[in-house]
Parts: sequence; structure tokens; C-alpha cells
Amino acid sequence: MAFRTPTIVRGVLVGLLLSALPFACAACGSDASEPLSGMVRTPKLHVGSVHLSDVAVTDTGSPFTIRARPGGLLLVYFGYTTCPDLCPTTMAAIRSARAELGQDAQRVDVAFITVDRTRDTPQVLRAFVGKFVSGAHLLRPANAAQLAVAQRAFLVTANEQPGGSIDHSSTVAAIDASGTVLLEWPFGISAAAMTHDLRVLLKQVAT
Amino acid sequence: MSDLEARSSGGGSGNGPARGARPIWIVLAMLAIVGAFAVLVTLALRSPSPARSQKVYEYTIPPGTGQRIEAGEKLYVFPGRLDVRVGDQLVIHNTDTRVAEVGPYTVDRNATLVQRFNQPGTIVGICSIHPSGQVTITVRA
Repeated sequence: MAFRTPTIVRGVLVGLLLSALPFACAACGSDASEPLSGMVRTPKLHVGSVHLSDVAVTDTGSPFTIRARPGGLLLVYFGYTTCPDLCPTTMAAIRSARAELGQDAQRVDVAFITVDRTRDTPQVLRAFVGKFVSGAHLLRPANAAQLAVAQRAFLVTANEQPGGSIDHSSTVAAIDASGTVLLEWPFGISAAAMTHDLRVLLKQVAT
Repeated sequence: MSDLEARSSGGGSGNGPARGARPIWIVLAMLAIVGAFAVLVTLALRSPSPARSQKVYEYTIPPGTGQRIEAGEKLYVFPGRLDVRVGDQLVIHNTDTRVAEVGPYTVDRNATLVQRFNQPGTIVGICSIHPSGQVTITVRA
């Protein structure tokens, strides 16, 4: 009798462990098996050699290389501040997705590359992007050639239309510390889907 | 003395621990069954309905496509309209020497792009490899 109590306790513990084991396995495998909503390329795009001027702090700007901080992600979007639909919608989705991430949002930086250098002055960029994301990199190409280099790297386009509007690609790219594009979301992606994908990617890039 | 030894040593008596130990294994078994059942329920709730298999829509843009279209040829490498369901996958292989634009998907030369559709909606955009110049992808729930 003296031995029965500890044996039962041990048995219950073993039983609990046995019960919990399949849960643990299911939880471990969830991210790997859950499909991503973004598009994946093979081979992946490498944009780590793209350098642009970041005018987030000063009008003269400081050099910025398109790479995430180690262990983090950089979301890059090409747009312009007077865009009537695509840009505000996409930036709002980014804002919501980052908000859903909670503390992990600190590992997700945002870079807005303007395709409208003439109208998007540093002040205008700060005002527009600041409505959606604080601390974003505001990248303003020095000239059309520099913008073209960046666009080629990302496989995006922008064409000015009569009347001043600009037809442009509206994908958001998620980039790691090496400058590799891990995933791209086409326009219209929901914030929830983006949040889900970001969680998966953050696990991948965790150091 | 270990528990095992204690049980063994008492095995000779009429009220031996063989009968006394049985409830432990019953508890263990019940816990394992409950655990396995809970896992099955969890997985069933998490997984999409298996009623319909997810399809893969795979297209290959052959070499010379861009050049032939430029020369005025009407090629139907990719449909102008594509109806898919949530969970389906679009795979585009571009083996041409030119970049192809299929709606929001810009596929680099000698590259593959994979998009899984996870939400219903309609995607309309420019298509550089369809005679109409446009593609409409409808994603149904």
C-alpha cells in the first residue's frame, strides 16, 4: 500500500504526458503545414544590393540598403502618396497586420519606396506614411534611373498616366536580413492573412 | 526497493499488486484515449474540409512566347479567365527569355511563381501572354 500512491501519481503523470504529446506534435507541425497566402518564387529574388536614400529623418536623406535587421523582416512597398486607392489600402493592411503581431511587430520594419519623386517630397512622404506606420523607411530615389534599378530588382513597374495618376505594381515584399524576398502579397491581401504569413516568416528568420 | 521490485515481491499473495496495479493502467489508457480523441477533434476543426481536393493550375510559358506575341501571333498560353476555389494553387513556369505579367504576378524569365489562393475574390489585371491583354481570376469559397 505504501508504494501505491506514488505509482498512481506517476501513472497519472505519464498518462498526461502521453495525452499532451500528440498536441505538442500537432502544434510543432502547424506552421510548416499551414499554407502561406503570399506568392513564392523560384529562384527567389535578391534585392540586397539595392541602395536608396532614406528621407525619414532628414530631407537630404541617409543611405539605406534593402535588407532587414538580423532576425527581422522588412516589408517593402512601391507607391505614391496621392494614390487614390491601392496605396492607402495596402498601407492600412500593413498597419493592421503589424498591430495584430503585438510585440513581434518590433521585428517587422516597413520601407515605402515612392514612384513619384516629383510630388513626394520628404515632408509629404513623412505625413502620408506616418498615418499608417511610425518609424518606416521613406525611400526616395535620386532620379529615374535609380528608381528603375530598384524596380527591376523587385520586378515591379510604374507608369505615369495622363492626368497625373500612376499605374503601378502593388505587391508587398517581405525581405530577410540577406536581402532575399521571402514572400510577396498581391494587392487585396487581408490583414489577417498577412499576419499569419508574417508569423510563419518570423519563425523562419528568428536567430 | 523500487516500485517494480515491490510489486514483484508481493506477487505471491492472494491479494497481490497485479490486481491493485490494474487501475493505474486503466487510468493511463483512458487518458491516452481522451488525449488522442482531443487531438483528432482539434485537427478536424483546424483542417479545411476534405470534401473537395485542392487543385493545382499549372501553366508553362514556352521559350519564344514574347517574341511570337510581338510578331502578331495570338497565343493562348494562359486563359483570359480562370475560376479557382479557395485552397487551389496557381503555378506559372516562365521558360521564355522575357518577363511575363499575369495580373498581379510578374514572373521572371526562367523562373517559377507559386500562389495559393486563401481567400475568395476577383483578381483582374494586365496579362502580357493573352491576346486580350487582360486576365481575370475568380476565387470562390
